[in-house]
Amino acid sequence: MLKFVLKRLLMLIPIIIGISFIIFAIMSLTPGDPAQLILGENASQEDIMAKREELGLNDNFFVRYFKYMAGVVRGDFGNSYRTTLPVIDEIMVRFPSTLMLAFFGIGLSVVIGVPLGIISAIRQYSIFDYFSRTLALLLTAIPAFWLGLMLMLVFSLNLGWLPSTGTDSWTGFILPSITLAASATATLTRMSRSSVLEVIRQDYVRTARAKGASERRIIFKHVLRNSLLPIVTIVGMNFGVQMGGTVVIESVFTISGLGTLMITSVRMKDIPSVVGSVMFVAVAIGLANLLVDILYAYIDPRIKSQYSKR
Amino acid sequence: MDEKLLEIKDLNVTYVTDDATVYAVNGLNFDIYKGETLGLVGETGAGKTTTALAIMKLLPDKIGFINSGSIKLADLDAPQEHKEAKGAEAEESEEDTRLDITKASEADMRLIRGNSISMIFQDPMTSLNPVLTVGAQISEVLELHNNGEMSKADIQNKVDEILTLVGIPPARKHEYPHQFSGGMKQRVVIAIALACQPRLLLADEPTTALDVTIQAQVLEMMKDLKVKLNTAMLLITHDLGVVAQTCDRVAIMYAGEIIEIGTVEQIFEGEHHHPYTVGLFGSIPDLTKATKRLNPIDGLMPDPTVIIPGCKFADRCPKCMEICKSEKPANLMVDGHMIKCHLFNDIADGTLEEAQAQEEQAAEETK
Amino acid sequence: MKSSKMLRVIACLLLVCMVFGACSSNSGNGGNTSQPAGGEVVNGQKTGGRVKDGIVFALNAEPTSLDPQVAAERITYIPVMQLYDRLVMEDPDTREIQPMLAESWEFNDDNTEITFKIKEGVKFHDGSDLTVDDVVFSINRAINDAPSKLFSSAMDRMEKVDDTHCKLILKYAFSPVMYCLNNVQFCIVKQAAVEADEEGFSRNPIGTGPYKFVSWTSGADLVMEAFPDYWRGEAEVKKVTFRTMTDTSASVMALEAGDVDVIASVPNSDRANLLANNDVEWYETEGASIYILTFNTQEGLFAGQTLEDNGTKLRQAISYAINRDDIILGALEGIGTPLYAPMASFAFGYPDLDTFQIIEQDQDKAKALLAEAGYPDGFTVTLRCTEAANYTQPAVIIQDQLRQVGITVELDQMERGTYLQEVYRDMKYEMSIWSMTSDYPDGDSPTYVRLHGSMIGNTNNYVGVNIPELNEALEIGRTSQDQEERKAAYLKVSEIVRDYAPMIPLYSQMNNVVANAALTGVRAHYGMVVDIYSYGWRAE
Repeated sequence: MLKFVLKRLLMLIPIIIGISFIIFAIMSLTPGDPAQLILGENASQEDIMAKREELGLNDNFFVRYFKYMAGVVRGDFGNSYRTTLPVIDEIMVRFPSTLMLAFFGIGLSVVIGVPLGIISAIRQYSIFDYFSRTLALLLTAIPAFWLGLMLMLVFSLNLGWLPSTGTDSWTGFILPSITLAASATATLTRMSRSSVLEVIRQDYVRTARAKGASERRIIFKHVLRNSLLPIVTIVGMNFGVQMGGTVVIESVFTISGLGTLMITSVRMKDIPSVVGSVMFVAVAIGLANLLVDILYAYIDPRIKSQYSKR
Repeated sequence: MDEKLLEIKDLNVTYVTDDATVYAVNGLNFDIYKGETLGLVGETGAGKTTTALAIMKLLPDKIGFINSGSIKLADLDAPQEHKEAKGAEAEESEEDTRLDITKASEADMRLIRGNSISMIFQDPMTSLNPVLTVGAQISEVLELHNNGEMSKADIQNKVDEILTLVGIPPARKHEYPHQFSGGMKQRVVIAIALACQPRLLLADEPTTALDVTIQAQVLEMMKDLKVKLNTAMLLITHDLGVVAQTCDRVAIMYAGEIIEIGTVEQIFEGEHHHPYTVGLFGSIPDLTKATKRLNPIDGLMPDPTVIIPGCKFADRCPKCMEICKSEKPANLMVDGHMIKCHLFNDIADGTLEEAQAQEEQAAEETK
Repeated sequence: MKSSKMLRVIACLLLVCMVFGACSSNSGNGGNTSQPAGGEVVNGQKTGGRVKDGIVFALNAEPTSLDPQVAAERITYIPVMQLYDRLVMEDPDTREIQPMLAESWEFNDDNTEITFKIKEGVKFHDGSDLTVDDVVFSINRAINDAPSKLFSSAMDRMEKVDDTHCKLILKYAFSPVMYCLNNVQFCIVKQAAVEADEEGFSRNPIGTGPYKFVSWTSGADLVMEAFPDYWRGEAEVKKVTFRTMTDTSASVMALEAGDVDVIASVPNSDRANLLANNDVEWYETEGASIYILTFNTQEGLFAGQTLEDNGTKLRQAISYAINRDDIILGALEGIGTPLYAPMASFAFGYPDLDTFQIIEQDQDKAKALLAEAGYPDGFTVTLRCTEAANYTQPAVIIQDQLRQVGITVELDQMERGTYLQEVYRDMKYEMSIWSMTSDYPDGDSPTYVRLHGSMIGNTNNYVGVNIPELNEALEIGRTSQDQEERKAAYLKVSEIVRDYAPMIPLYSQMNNVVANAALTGVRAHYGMVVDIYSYGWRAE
């Protein structure tokens, strides 16, 4: 098992390298001059040229890439063109908010979505089932910015219960988390439902019944754990993706997160910032995936033995 | 005569779906005596599995229904609460105090399942929960039915005992199902089924999924256990060879009815048989003769969604008579065993019902 | 089984720890901002049900630097302006130049040198005194290092005369020079601080302005507080928190909820709603951003520097095809001012519309011109613009107006960075819609840099126009000291632009500021200049 984990961690390295190269290439080879964007429209050609020299933009692409990667190896991810601050600092200032938002949002979706799906499956075709499936449909259809603004309108403006901006206190995370959780909940409900439905029809559930086990025991001891695999997969994927931040929610609720950082950096062609944040997010997603795979082993012993064999 | 353990009378089971209603079991009658092995033989679709599920009351929810009839389980093994409830009344009258499964509540059934009556299913590969250890799955059935009388240590000892009994080293109880071969898995399933020493074991084609050599081992083992624990068994199979090896009595089932039932000798060697039985035996390939083609029974089992007047085998029967098409044959007693066929109307010694009534009278007289 | 349970417990604990860790690091940062509260009353000041010791100012983009000679975006200027003083300032009502750090000044005979007397007794935020050396340093830094040479193009250098005087030497006599000194890049910084750590100065500024810097972490709020020793007296609003809120719906809601006090700029779609809200005050004024339809007059379909060229005729045809009022109605909900010359309507030199001949929409004339130019059946052309709504909306309306005279316009919306490189810098376009801003209310801005032949290729004259009469008029306007002469020159500029149509001025937007109704002294400004020093609380 340990070997498996180590191997996966090592595999992250070529992935990161590949990503950094691709992003670097895209940012460098597409139109748009970082120097111009920083200096603004009124800057003269000489100034722009000087700035380009300063940023090292006049070097050959490969030279620039190797210089950058050499820095990365030493732990220096460069400075943002836009703010001149170290990229790693910019990321770390914003990461906690993004992490918290992801955690609360995904957490909420699990707490609501999974039980909803399970109950739907157990009471298939009941009114509860129809209700939860309709709810899932609605939640998928509603756009995040609309939901966010509506929540803000009701809870911040009209009722004044919750703050509308910022994440100074934990209350500031409530509305954005709900907005984030909305569509994630929908997916999880459907996934849990179908997973449980499949498991409930399995022979070993019938065996459990033949032993005289109560429905409750069957659900909790036999069905639940076997249904977990697809659910864990989706939660893990969602969590990983959320590490990249959500620009829409961050914008609506004025949360300073990774999503906004990345979009702003892309717009301003702030190459070190873009490459740095993307690599960071890639690592986060890679780790999230690894965590999911490790969890698999604890859920299903067949998978655990597969890992050990390799 | 041994005591009756299970008595099934006029059982009707249907499956109701949006498309149609399937009449799976129609007017089923048979008994199982304590400690005996009854073989239930028939083609696919005869209703054998349905019968077993009905006995366990494990028919699919909202689809399978026991419409009428009774399945009575002998007193000695009825759940404690039930006995106590009925106890007072029983003393006063001579009412039948046996538990009627068709009327039993789910709570009652949960006490019976795994405890008084156990069932093992056809495919051992999928019958075990892949995420629980084998030991945990066996101890589960003990935990469910021990009424808190056994400590954890006791339970573990029992688990070890049973595993040894089925020929698996107890140390393997910490392993998972996927680490066992098919044959061993089936042994585990049997271990689970017999852990609480049930009175009746329903075995639905337990060896069909296994290869022949393992089959022999498992059957031997089941025979031994049966003797040790004095368990009765309903062995559902379509393999007449297995029947010959292990059963005391045999029931032949066709289209939801028992059409012939008797001891193994009566069925395998007797003179008179239901044409279907003849066809079944005739279809077994004979190793001593050289043939080019196999000898199946022509035709297929009738559509179970349609209620047929008369004998269900009529359209396939080589000896079909006019009366067969319109009138249902009675349960005739021929040479000491039951055959449901108009062919024997003349030579029968009365019907099964008459014979049973006589027995009951005799039993009462001896009291 | 047991091990997996243990693992779950540990995982939960870890997550909980992470959560608390992140929580506390966050609240550490943001502790200074005002919370929605109902209870306190400070100095008897209650505002809209919530009480403030300071204001929260919403910006729609993140500022990049607090160094006035480095900052390059308009939105960044807002916080910057609060931290520093300049030599002169603009009177908000009369738009005339007033003394600030420069007590008085004198021009020499040919107006190529200006000698300033610098105010004494002014202190920097760290307590040190302002000296003439700081002034000289700052001005020279602005001339040499600032990202934009627009304002300093006429300046050569600043020299120290003595401990209270300094002299600005110009390359040529330049009428609007005093307005240039009002620009943010000429803010006076502390020389020693900049020399000690130039890069760090962006995040640790020291000036003489009414507010001094408190804190700013990237991505979090930018906080400043009133400088008690400010030479004009301490500001009434004690604390200012700048918060970046990119979504205007969210910032408007925050304003209505009382979480935010001022928003720098709000789309007109919110106008009616906010006007009706009594807790909120809407301030607007005509802005100095001039929206223009531009053409590449050097190459392609619209090439042409003389009236006889086909390209010129096509441009003229388009002048006749458009209807400014309809564009304003459609793109700005009717809130904007049509422009007929390439300068702000309140700028010195803008033609008198009573006497100036403007081009009104005339579809027949447009079609006739098209035929004359050899396109009787019209033609197809690509209009390039960025994705921002303030360009795409008028673009769509213009597209329709041109369709009516037979010109098929294909819209090419581009990402800003790409636009700046391809259209703005490399002039790879035929027609575009963009805006230029007038930074001071004088005809020179921005006409010289946008229309003078010498400015082609410097990314300022990107229509590529080079007409001798135009060049001449622009030069007179820039260098003459005779106001009447200048006025006539700009009239000529307006006429040439009207007739040759290298760019077609369309309209100017209204700039607005929306604020808590309890604040006084708030004003909208044509250049989005914000002066928080003049803000105060309304007495109950």
